[in-house]
Amino acid sequence: MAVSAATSDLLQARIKRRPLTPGQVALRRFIRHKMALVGVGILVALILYVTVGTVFFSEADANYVDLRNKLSPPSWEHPFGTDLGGRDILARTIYGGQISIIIGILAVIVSVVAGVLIGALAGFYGGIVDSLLMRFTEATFNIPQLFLLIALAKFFGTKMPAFNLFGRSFSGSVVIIVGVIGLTSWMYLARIVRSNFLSLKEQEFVTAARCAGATDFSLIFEHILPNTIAPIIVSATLEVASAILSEAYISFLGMGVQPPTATWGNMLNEAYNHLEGAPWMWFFPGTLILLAVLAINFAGDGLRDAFDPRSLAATQ
Amino acid sequence: MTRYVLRRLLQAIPLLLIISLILFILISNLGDPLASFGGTRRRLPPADRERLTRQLGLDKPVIVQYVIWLIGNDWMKIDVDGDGIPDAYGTRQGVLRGDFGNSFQERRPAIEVIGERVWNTLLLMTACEAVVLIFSLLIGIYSALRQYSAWDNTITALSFIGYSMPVFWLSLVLIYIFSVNFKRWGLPYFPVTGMYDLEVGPTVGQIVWHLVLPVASLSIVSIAGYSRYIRSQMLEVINQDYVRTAYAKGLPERMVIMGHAFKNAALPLVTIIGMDLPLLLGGAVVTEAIFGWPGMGRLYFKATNAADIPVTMGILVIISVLVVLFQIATDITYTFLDPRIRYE
Amino acid sequence: MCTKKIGCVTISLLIVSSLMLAGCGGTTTPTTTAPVAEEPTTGEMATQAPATQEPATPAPTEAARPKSITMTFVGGDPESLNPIYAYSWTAECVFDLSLASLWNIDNDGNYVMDLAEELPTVENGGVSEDGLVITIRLTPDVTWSDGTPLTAHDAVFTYDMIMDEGNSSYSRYPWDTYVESITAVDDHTLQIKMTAPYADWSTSLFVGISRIIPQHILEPVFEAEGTLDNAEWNRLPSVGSGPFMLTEFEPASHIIFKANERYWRGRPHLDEIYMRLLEDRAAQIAALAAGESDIGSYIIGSEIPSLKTMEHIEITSSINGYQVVTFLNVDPKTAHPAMTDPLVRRALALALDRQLMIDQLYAGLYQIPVTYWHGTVYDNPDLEPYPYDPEQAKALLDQAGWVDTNGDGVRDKDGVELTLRYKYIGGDETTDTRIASMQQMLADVGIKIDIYAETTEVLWASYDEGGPLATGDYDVTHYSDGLWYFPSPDTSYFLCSEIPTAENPWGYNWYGICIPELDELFAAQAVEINPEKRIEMFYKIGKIMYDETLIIPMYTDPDVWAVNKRLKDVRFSGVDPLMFAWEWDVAE
Repeated sequence: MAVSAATSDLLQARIKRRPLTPGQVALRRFIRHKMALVGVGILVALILYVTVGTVFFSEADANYVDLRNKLSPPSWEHPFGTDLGGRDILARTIYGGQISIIIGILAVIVSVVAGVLIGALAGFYGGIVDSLLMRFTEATFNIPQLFLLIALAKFFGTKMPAFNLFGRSFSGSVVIIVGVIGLTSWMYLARIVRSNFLSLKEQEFVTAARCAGATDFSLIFEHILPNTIAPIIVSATLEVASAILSEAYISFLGMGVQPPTATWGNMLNEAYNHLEGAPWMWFFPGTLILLAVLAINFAGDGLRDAFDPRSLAATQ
Repeated sequence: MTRYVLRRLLQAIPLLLIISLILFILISNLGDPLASFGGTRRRLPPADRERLTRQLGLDKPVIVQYVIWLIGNDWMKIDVDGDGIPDAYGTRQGVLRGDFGNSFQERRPAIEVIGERVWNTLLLMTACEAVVLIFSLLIGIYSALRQYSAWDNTITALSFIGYSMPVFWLSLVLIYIFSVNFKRWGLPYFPVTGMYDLEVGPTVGQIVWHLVLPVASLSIVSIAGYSRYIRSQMLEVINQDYVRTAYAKGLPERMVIMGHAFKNAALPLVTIIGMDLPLLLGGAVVTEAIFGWPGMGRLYFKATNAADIPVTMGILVIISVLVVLFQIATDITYTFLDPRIRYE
Repeated sequence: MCTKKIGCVTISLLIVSSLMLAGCGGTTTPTTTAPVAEEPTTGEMATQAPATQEPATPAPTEAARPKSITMTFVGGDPESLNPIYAYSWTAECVFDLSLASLWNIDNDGNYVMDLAEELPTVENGGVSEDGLVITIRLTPDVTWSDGTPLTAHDAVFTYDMIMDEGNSSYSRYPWDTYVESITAVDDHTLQIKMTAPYADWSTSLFVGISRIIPQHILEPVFEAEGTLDNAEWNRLPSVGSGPFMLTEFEPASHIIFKANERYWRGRPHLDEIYMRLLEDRAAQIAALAAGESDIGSYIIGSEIPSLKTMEHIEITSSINGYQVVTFLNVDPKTAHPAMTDPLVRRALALALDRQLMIDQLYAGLYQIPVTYWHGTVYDNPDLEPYPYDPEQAKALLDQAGWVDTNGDGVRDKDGVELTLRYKYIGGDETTDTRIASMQQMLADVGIKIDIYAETTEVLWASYDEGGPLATGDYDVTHYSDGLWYFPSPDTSYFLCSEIPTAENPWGYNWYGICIPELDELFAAQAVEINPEKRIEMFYKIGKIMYDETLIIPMYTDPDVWAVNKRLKDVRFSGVDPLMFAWEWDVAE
């Protein structure tokens, strides 16, 4: 059958155009997801808020105590009002936001590293290694995260000294919170990675690579892992939201980053006593946490759909 | 089946032992339990400190303390009067025999201390779980059936927001509106603290009234999450062939949903609910703190702060056991729900 | 799992729950109890007390409704209802209601006799010439609430139980140090033999938190079990000797007291007292606002503004010898080099605007003390509190050689920055804010403060556990502390010998204060029976500590009570808080 010239041109064009990588496919699908874009937009706005905001307010502004000005409602001078120490809440949400977000991201890095390592090793080697690691995972998973958080936070207490990053001085408790949150949230990812490894390692490309003489290390990290990157990314994104929330919880209980360093979470703790009298104290940090978590959830949802529109993995 | 259950239970035992050891070491290093004896107003005289350290068994190395905690010390002689010479048998039987030791703070059996509170937490959690189940089912199924309607979109948007809220922020908002402002506006307002008004006593009505706000704040977040999940599960199932066949056969909608679609969507739901127990307990800590609910979460927090080892370990052990049992129960429920799943 | 079942179950659950919610929403009203009272009643806020014994007042005839009031306490349950195991302030308040003591001390320092007929002195022969033997005569015809006579034998039994090895009693001090023996000469005469003339016996033996326990109830328990540790009576005392009887104790919730018909002063006016045990300060304020609590306890300064808006609430405070003090680590072995210089310490004191903090954070409720003995006769009247003078502080620091040579805003000397570690017990928003403001004030004079907020268990851990305060691993701290047996002035906190070391890890002197002259004075006052001489010694002690700026008293920490105006004749004491409970009444 003769093919029309136009069609054959189209066909030629299509053949010449390079096929899209899975990443690009995912990106396109992501862009079509309206909610996800909104989420990303909010996130960008928040990040701008906590970074560019520092141009307008110095850290000293955020910590400047002026008792005579305490608990004043939002005004031109203090758009978000002041807290019990007369400190400007707007400035504190900027600097507090830095810490909350940094804690969120760092904690997720810790948990992803731990989760992927454990999941990969368990899935790849199977057998005894798998049993032991999975029992260990179950064990730590069984204990409610908040309970573990409380115990670990108290345990490490203030044993870490302060350190400097990006020109800001962070108290040692930030490191501890990062570690504590990270070490209590890796289990879920470990299970997913493990089950993916279990199924992937039977596939032909792995056998082929093995025959070609690849080392275990190479097999795990260069061959199998890239194929399971999608759920890791999705999980990690959603984990950031969870980590920010965890930081808020634990600061609310008074065991997180200690005042006078501000985080969104411990600002809520301070606000608890002023429910009636000074609602601006809890409204602003709370809304910011809400926005951040919301945005991340939108984006994470979009990511999940982008990588596999049919996937209906648990909302965790 | 029984073999499977037995095997899981047997596997659980070394698991629990290891957990308890790790936790014990962790908890033992939380601080000095005797530091706040006397409150913050009167420090403990030295001779008494020495004596109490000995009597509470805190002068021994951590591993020895753990062993005693586990199996008691009534089989060995301990030094009662402080002269360094063991003279009388101990009085503790150890956790394996059901003796969790005496609370450091309250000087009575830790089990009693925990037992008084655990029911309050269970009440809170059960109420919450029930509310979560009912509402997520209703909302999720309704949303799925009316996909893309205005109603569905509103619910989805609200779910996202609800799901992203820290529970305690929600509690604060609820308190602000329904307690503080309702009172200001002269409306019947919800109480903020406690399980019941003292003068009226612990009647069912009182307790339910005091439960409303805590349960609302705990459950809204979960409902938001689960309703979306159920919605997506239902959507997946509804589009399956067998459901279309059922409709084609002329079955009424309710029967199609309840009899066919729902059962298949329910399976993962069971997992979620089963796994939700630890999360709920965690959320309970904060909620109990805000609402002054005398429960186990609050006790845990207080005990951890006071380095009260028997109570803290007691709570952690109880939770671990509960969660393990719950997981096994969940797995067994699976087999009833999905005949394709069978265990050896 | 039939279809109908699921549907039916769901629907019925829905119906049931909506019924319950609707039902309880309507029937139970959250506001209960007292209407807001308008006129204040006479005499209820008086803190003046008549001297010595009170005549017994017969109980008025009851109206149809029992006269009951609700008190709220924050901070958890009393750890035990048996005085030999208890130590907390809440427990002491409970004992004021349920157990009698030998005597009580009111808010003006007067001794009000309780079980004892009169206060033993050298003049009336109650105290021997050498101060070693104290003879106390008990009021006859006093009985426990079950009718059994309360005798000197109960006191001896109490002492025996405190000292017995089988009981893990909270503290054996000062019995183990100063008491040689206690005997019942007869049913109503108690004799205490001391090992040394202990000047503070009248504020520590069988008074305050130390009370007499019933022999007829507890001796059989002790004989059967060898210990009182697990006695039922510790959780719910079946008999008592105070104006009220404990009838119910629900942990983490409440204690219910009912009037003791057999109280030796006669039945109290009130019929019932509900004591609610709250864990949360905000809950107490809410309860007071709603009229659900008639008496709120231990109110803190930051709560005063909201309480002032409540018209039905009256605020009263009693001095209890406690004050919040900023303590400095001056131990040359562990302290920051700047802290060993009195000029620097004085600069610290001058840089702090204490009045501002009190006015802004604590509603002006507290006073600024000068010495540790504020509120007692031992407080040196010639001394004035350190003024707020940041310029002078800067001048002193310059004089001491601490100048900012490297332009970072923090003074330094010989390469050492003047950065101090401030470690304290965190968790309270007002305290955190106060410390932040102090950080600001000190930054303004060039001193940098690094803040560490800890829990009690970590901060106050013992020397062996590496506790920061005990090992001198801090520069500045603060907490509320006072005199153990207020109004007795004795304290061992500032003795050289009390600095914790490996040999003596339990020492109290966490500050490293070691001044030989102070040691001599303290040693002398402990056994000085002449009151004027003792006062002179404490004036000297106060002056030395003031001149050297060894401690910086911040503000007094009195007991603050919020009382509903519907009550009358309510007064408190800083020493025995609820000693006048038998007088309290409800205005009709």
